[in-house]
Amino acid sequence: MASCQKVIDLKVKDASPKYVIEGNITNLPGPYTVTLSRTTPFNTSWEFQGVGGATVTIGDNMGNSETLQESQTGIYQTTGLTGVEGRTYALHITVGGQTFTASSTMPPLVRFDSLYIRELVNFTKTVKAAVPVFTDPKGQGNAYRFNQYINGRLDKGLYYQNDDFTDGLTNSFALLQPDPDSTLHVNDRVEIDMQCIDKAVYEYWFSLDQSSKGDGNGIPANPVSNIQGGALGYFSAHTSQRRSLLVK
Amino acid sequence: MRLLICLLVLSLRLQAQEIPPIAKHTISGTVRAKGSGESILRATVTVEGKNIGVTSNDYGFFSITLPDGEYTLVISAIGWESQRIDIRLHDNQQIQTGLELQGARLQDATVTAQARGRSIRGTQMGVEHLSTKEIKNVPVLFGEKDVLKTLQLLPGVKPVSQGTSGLSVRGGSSDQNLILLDEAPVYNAAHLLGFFSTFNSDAIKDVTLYKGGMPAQYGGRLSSVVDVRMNDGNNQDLHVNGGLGLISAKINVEGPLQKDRSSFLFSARRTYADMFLKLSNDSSVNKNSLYFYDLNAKLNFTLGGKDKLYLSGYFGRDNMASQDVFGLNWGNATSTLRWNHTFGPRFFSNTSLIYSYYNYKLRINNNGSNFNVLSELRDWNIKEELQFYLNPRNNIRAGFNAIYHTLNPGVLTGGAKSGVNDTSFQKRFGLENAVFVNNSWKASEKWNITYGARLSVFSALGKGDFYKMAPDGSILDTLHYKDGQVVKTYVNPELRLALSYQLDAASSIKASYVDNTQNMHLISSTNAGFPTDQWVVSNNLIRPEKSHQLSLGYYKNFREDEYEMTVETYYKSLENQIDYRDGANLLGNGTLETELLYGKGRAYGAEWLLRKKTGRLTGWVGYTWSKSQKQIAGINEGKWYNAVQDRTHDISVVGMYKLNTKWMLSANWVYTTGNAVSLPSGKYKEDGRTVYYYSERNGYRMPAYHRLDLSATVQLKERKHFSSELAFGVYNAYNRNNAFIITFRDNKTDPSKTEAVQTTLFGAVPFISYNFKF
Repeated sequence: MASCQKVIDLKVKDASPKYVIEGNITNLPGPYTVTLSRTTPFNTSWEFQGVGGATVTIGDNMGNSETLQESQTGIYQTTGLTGVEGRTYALHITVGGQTFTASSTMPPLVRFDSLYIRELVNFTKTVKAAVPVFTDPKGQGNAYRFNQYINGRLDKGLYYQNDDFTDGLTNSFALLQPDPDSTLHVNDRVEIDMQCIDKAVYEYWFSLDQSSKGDGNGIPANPVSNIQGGALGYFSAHTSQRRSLLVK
Repeated sequence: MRLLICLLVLSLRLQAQEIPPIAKHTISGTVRAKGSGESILRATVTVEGKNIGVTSNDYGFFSITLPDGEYTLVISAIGWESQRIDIRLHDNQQIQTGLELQGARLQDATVTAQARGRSIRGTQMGVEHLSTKEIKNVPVLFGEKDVLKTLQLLPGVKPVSQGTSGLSVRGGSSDQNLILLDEAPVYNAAHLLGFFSTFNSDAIKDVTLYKGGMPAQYGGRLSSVVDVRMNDGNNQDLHVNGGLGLISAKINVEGPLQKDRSSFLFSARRTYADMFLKLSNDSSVNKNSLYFYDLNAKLNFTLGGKDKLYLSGYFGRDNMASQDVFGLNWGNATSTLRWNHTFGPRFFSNTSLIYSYYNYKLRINNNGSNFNVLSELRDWNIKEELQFYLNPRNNIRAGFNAIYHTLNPGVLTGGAKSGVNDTSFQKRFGLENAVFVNNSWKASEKWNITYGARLSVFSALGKGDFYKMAPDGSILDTLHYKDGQVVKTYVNPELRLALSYQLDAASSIKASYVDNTQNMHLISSTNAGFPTDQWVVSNNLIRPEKSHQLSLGYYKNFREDEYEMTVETYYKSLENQIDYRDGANLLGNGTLETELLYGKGRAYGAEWLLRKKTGRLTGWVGYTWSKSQKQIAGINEGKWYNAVQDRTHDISVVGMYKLNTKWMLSANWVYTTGNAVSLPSGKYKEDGRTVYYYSERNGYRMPAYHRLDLSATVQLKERKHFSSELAFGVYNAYNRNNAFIITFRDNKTDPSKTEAVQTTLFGAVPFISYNFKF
């Protein structure tokens, strides 16, 4: 069926900017970063609008706590904190009279055993895609996220899964997206960052993928955030492991 | 309720006063077509010289009781020559009718939907009838005649999504329509993702759409009833007709099993666009498939003078597959066994046993990850309806309906190397009962009043686990129920009231009030009617949806019924309307109820229709102004927001012109305000990925939609016992690029800039088809 696409000029109302928080803490050595910025109006070119002067603290459930240092406007970094599997981390931000809080638990690490390339069909083409190999521990509730780097460039595809249908199994699902930028070619160096994430963070990536990418799927909405207080974004405590190989 | 009792007492008391000293007897019968024996629905049977008349029911049956004397009955129905029967009444009489088709030429020239003046008499409002004759001449996508798409050209009825056959009636969603095929609910009335409906117009006799004022025998959905009746089959001679179109072929065979007493009908249709894919040398194309087929069959038997038995069935299937890698097939099956029985000349009974089934199967087989998903829905349904023709002033209907629903949301099977665990979601069970009673009372020369009530009783049944839920959707507790154990029962009385006042011979005003309750809900994130959308039944967390609709209307015929004008306004308030939490996971979710939010709805509007019913040029102009909104805690900060299907203005113009005895030209033009849609107000980036920021739900509009379709039909040379015609035309004749969807992406050269991209589904699409009959 013949369908056609064209770029159109669209007028939207510019809503007042909203705070965006992005915070990550991993089992790898720090420093860990929390960014605080504002949204850009839809019809304006995007640029990072960092918000300085905020008080940002991260604490864990073992009594450790630290106030982050602002390294650049809107970018806050830890100095001594170390992420540990199983601990719950609390983020606390005060800025301009507003307070935002979030908490995230770093799940136990699931070993990233190996990585291989598999050929599979994507719509009408046969393509190559990476398969991260790991065995999900018995018992539901595990969730994973993957960042794929192709020749050092972060692939913008979102890759995540939980174990609703794969509890206790060894993963055989490939990281597959229709976008040409996500496609692997012979002699590409592909590196995968595998993250074990908690349920709330999984729901963030899931809902972002479903409703907030502007691709017309689902009901457009903001991602479901684990941040209290009315900011966009997320706070994720996760494990991180990397593996890479050359595509043949 | 008190009101209903008052009306009942009043209508019977008036009756008591009227009993004359002379004896009364009853004339009854079935209105039939002479050539085919097909029963004719909604034919009017009037007593000449008296302001008394009845209408034949859904099986063509009528009954009229008069004081003994001499009368002339006039039986008339649109498209048929009126028949006059002289009667000397001194005992009960059964009469034989056989209406003759109006001269074939004339019939085509007067493409009319209803008996002349039907809008004026009677209390029924918010109703539209379409006969297949009418559907035939309206141009549609790919030339595939379609009852649901033709309904969309009437005021108050719109497609839920562009180009699709799903209906939004008076601001409702697509699951709020009760779509019946020979009384069997059809759960997914769409083929090929909605571009075609499941109804093969060759097998269809008649379609009635109730937008409001539903009679008490119908219930279970909030917005509308679409009552589709199949042909019975010709009981006089064997006939074959068929057609070849651009994308499909169809054939219809009907004839007597035993002349005058029994007949059969068989109709089949299949699309073959995918056969062209097979011709391709490209293996990425020739291994894909995309087709549907459907079969309609019916048998009917007359057993003695008092009984008639009908058995009808439908089976349809769609198949989409890509490269042996992905497959999705889905379809409905329905069957209905009906028994008409007359207990004496004034008492008509119909008993129906009905089965409805819908399923889809999804198959993924891609190099290591392979699994199947099956989802199904099954109904067993019994319906009893009694009609008592008490006297010419009172026609009473009463009955009951019981439906047992079994929903199997999903079974995932893989096997050892599939990469997934075999998983079954819980089956859900529901028992939906209703009793109803209704009286159509001709209170005086000018007043007609129809009053009734329906009691809806729904029980969610075990076996299964049900949940207690916190306001944020998290599960607090799980409750276990045994096989058949009642989880929750909802009792909802519904009032049905309609009245009309005849201002003069050519105009009337009417008012109606109707309550509806809905216990089957479709969970869909697309609103477009995808085969994988999930039906759920009410339970302890999912409450019945309810609506209360008040309508007022004015009806006028002029130029001796050549023109008909109707104006109807309505206000609907809705309870327990369902929407989804932000980021809801609606696919493959075993606890869907935790993703749903409930709130209020309101829909109101005004509908104008001017129709030209006779002459060389026939057709109509319709205009609707309407509003449909929801208010749900947890969405849009709890403020009222427009429903997706809220479209302020809607215009349709349909014209059919009989050029000469051979040529028929037709055109239709539609214009509608764009759907309500959520557009981003801002954006931000996370790791270089653009994320859009939404500040309100459905706060924007898609661009307005408009389209012109043209078609022409030419009768080819007729031979003895064989006639044929060629129809051709173009859909979207001026190639308007209507926006189907607007998506957003980073500009390729400057990723800091955002582009809005509009996708158009169909440009101008020509079509041609050849139809024959012998």
